[in-house]
Amino acid sequence: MIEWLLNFLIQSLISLFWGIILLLVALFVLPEKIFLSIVKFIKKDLVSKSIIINKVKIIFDYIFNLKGIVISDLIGKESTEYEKEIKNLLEEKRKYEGNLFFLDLLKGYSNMLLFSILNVGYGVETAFMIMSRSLEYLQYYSHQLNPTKNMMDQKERIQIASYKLEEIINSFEEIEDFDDKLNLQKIKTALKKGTTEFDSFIKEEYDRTKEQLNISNQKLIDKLILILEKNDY
Amino acid sequence: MITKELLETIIKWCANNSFIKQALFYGSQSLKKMDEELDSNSDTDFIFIINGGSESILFEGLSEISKDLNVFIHPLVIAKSDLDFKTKIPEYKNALENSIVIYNSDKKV
Repeated sequence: MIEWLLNFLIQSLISLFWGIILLLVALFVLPEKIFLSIVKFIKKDLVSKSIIINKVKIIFDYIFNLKGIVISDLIGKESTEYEKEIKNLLEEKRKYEGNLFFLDLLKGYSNMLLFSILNVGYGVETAFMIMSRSLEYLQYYSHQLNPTKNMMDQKERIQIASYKLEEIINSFEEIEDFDDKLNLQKIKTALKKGTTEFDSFIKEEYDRTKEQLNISNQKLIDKLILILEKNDY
Repeated sequence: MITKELLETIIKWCANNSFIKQALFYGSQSLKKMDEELDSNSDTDFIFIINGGSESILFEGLSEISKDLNVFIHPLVIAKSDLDFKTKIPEYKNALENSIVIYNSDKKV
């Protein structure tokens, strides 16, 4: 009995050894597709996992690591149409990214304005000076925004919002007596209202742009997966 | 000198607020030397990397510093949870790369 078991064990090891040798030979001799289908037949998970990891790596490199992967290298002849679609999606994504950055700057600026006006208690003259200077920055940042497919008029809307703020400041030009308590209260209330409204408007725009950027990234991922799957990559 | 005073005030303030992970000085003003005075007509740009949910404390503190030193600080605030996502965006990457780290909660700069 022991002799039979020992014999069985040795024979199994010899078979396993030749199996591995044949697999290694196949790896070098057979085309990749045939080799993968053999491995798939033996252990399905192994192949699908390695392919998925490879796909994810390509997609991640393409979208997030800004590596210039050439689509035609991946899919061959029909690349032009795919390249065009990917290029359009990438351009849209880049616009959202750029806009997000400038909206982030605007968000920081409007937050500082809000806190300065509400909490720190600047004098009216200093508050005016800060506000007037800020308007130039707000206009400059809003000019950097690019129109995107789903947010065509974002730049215009932000410009209108900063013009509204400007109007509030300009309306104080008619006030002559800044020492009058009633006038002072009127100015402070208007400044607080104006900066609060502007700040929440910018935050909303920022959140919407971030959401659109996520959607745009997802579209790119889906498209790239589709291309890789179609071409059995 | 406002540059030195401002930087020292910011660093000291960051060290007293554990939610701030990193503070960086950027923009044209960051190119000035410590012994050069800041242009009072220009904004002073900083990047703050902070733990999320602490924005209001940050802005309150910065507006106080702004008022005390008569410099309008213009911050770009990045929540730590957003850092990976944002550093993959060229505009943020560029801003971070062209900044000078003035405070890092993990080590003394």
